[in-house]
Amino acid sequence: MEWLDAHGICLCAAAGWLDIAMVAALCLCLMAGYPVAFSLAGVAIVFALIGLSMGVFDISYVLPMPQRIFGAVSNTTLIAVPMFILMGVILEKSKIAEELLDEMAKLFGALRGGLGISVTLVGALLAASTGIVGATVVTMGLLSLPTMLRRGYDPAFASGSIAAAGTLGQIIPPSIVLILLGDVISNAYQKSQLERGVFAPETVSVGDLFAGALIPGLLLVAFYILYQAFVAFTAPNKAPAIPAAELSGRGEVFAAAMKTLPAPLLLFIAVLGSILGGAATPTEAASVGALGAMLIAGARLTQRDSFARYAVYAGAIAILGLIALTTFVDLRLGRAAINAGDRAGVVLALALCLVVPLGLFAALHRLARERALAAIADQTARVTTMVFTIFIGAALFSLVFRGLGGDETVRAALHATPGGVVGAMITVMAVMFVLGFFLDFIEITLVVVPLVAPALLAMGVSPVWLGVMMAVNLQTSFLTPPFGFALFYLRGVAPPEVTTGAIYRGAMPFILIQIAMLAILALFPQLATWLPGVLYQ
Amino acid sequence: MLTLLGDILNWLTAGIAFPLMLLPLAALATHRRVAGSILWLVLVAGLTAAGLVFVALAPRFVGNVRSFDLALFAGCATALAILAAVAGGPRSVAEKLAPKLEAVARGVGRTVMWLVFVMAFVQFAVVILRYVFGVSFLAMQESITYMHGAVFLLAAGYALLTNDQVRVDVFYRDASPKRKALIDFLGAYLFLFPVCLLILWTASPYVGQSWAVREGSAEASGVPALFLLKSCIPAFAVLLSMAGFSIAVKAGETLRGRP
Repeated sequence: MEWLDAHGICLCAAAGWLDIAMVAALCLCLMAGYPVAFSLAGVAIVFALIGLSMGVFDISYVLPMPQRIFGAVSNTTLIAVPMFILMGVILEKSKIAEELLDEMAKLFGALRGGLGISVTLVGALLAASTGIVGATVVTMGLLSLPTMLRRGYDPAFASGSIAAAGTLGQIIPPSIVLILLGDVISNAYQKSQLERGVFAPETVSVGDLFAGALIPGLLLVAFYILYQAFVAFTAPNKAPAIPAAELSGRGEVFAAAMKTLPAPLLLFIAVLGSILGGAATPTEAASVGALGAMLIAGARLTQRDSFARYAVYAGAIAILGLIALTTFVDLRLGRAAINAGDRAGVVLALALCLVVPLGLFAALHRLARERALAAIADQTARVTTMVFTIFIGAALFSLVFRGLGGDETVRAALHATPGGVVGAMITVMAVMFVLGFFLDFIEITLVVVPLVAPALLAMGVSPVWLGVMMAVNLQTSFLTPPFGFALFYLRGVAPPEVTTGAIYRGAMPFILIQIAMLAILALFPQLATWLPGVLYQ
Repeated sequence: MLTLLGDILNWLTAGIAFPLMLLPLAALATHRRVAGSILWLVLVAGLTAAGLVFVALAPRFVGNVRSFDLALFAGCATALAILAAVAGGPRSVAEKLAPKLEAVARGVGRTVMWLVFVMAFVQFAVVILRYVFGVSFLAMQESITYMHGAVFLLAAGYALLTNDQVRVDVFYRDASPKRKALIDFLGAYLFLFPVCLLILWTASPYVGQSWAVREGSAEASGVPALFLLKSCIPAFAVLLSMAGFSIAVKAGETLRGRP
């Protein structure tokens, strides 16, 4: 046994590096292209086995795996994810997103740079529908890029606008990414406080993160539009206006826009408003959003003056009526004494409740006739599964990483970084930026953030600010050549006359805007922390 | 007795799921009936023996292997190998089995997907009841969690088949079909199948205990079927294995140069 002991000692020296080797191995394996969720979990198992054979890993670290999976099932905040995906998929499959883009373009087309601005606005509006980089870029790349090129837009400027607008969905609430990030950061925040001996920890919610991301997100939209206006005025040949003669009358355009724009806009505002106002949880608001999207789709697809169209309208009006009635009349059941006025209100409310399913049924029936219903359920289920399978893979990876002492390594590395909190923050940001070239937001959020966030938070960084900085940072990473995700997706759908070089050149100014935004956020953290403070304290 | 179901799950995992996972590998190696079946049996026995040696030697490995389990496992593997030989060898069995398993994973996914609508409706009803009428039913709220869990756990195999599980496709996208097949085949054996086995192995006591007490909700008025929801965890691993089996068989066909 002596040789084994000697052997064991030299193995133990190597064992200290297992956590780092594990991350390196993961990066290599991911490059091969096997699905990320299983690469994460598979690498974890391989290193757990190596650790076990060296005696530096305890099997009890991986035994809670079913509990971790069940945690993803029973976490009610995360149920907002499938609901928001459903809402987005309905908007996409019923072509409402397409129509929004079309009408916006007509509305702003007569302005110089108007098409670019409409792309930015729609990108911001569709935030709710796609947390996954790519979907927005692909949609807008297919719909807007050809139009913009036909209208004489500079290919670089047009493709840069589209790629940048596509990434806005990450930062503007209610994005799926912010929900995941909120969940991860709130866990990390609790953990870091408990470790410091705070046993009644402050919490940070998804709502906090939504509120924190709102102002920076809107500022980014404003900066994008300012830049686009600047280009349009200094170099009109890069972003010409659509000649007035080719557009129908201004009144007509406005009337058409008034028909299609208000409903989705109202829905987005209602969903976001009820979360930020603290009236509803993200999950509740998301379900209202999904039903609202169904009704809007139903209204769009049913024939004019048909019974179905009226049923859909009645359903929508019934929901609005219920909200109005609730504000003015106390409808709560189960009280001891209900006066006559309230009783009449309750009866009316119950009647309205019967109308809602009618409208929904009409809308669903129409969607089924259009063969969209199964496609919606299918895509929603697939995207949801994809997100949560990564969640499970990342859970196993972090269990093993922690078992190998990776937590300590990360913490020690961050503490050893020169420059204290600022240095650590810059390091983390730089690492995430580079990872953003290879990994999607979901993977980074679920794998990297749980590792670095507790250490950073323990150094006194504000959790909301941290979340928003990470979101903007990754958004920048997705725009940066040569690996940026948004650019990749756009390359996939852009016509061949748009050169890859043009796409890269077009993205540059937007990257500068992003970096400026990061600097502004770093100097004025209040931009992220002020609104949640006002809303929730 | 308390965790009989957990034991049964373990036996099924070791006796059926594990040997079946090695079938595409044996099928890739040879088309011959008897030789293939023997190769398969050798693969199963060899990996099992390696695992046992590992468990015995690895320091700090808690958990024991009972002789009854082993006997059962050996019996199952031998029976399967004989069956495979009779039925035409591993390749023929794998190619016949793959579409069936794929159909199951696909069918389950295509069925549970409808729950996304039901989820949204029930959640909406909860919102109306709570904010308008001031009443809430715990069972309704909990049912949403059940549907949510069922959707993402039971549709996972389907999403793997439809290639919806995200990949880092910087290099994968432009790879040749053969290279893609190689990645899928190796990935199934290095990553996917071990993950499924790990989940099945860790889930068996977890789910077994839940079944033993017919675990319900922590609240009296909740849905009394937590044990069913928890059963979705091993089902997740099984459905993923089925999808992985079918992908591995197809990748094996490509690797052998069949169009």
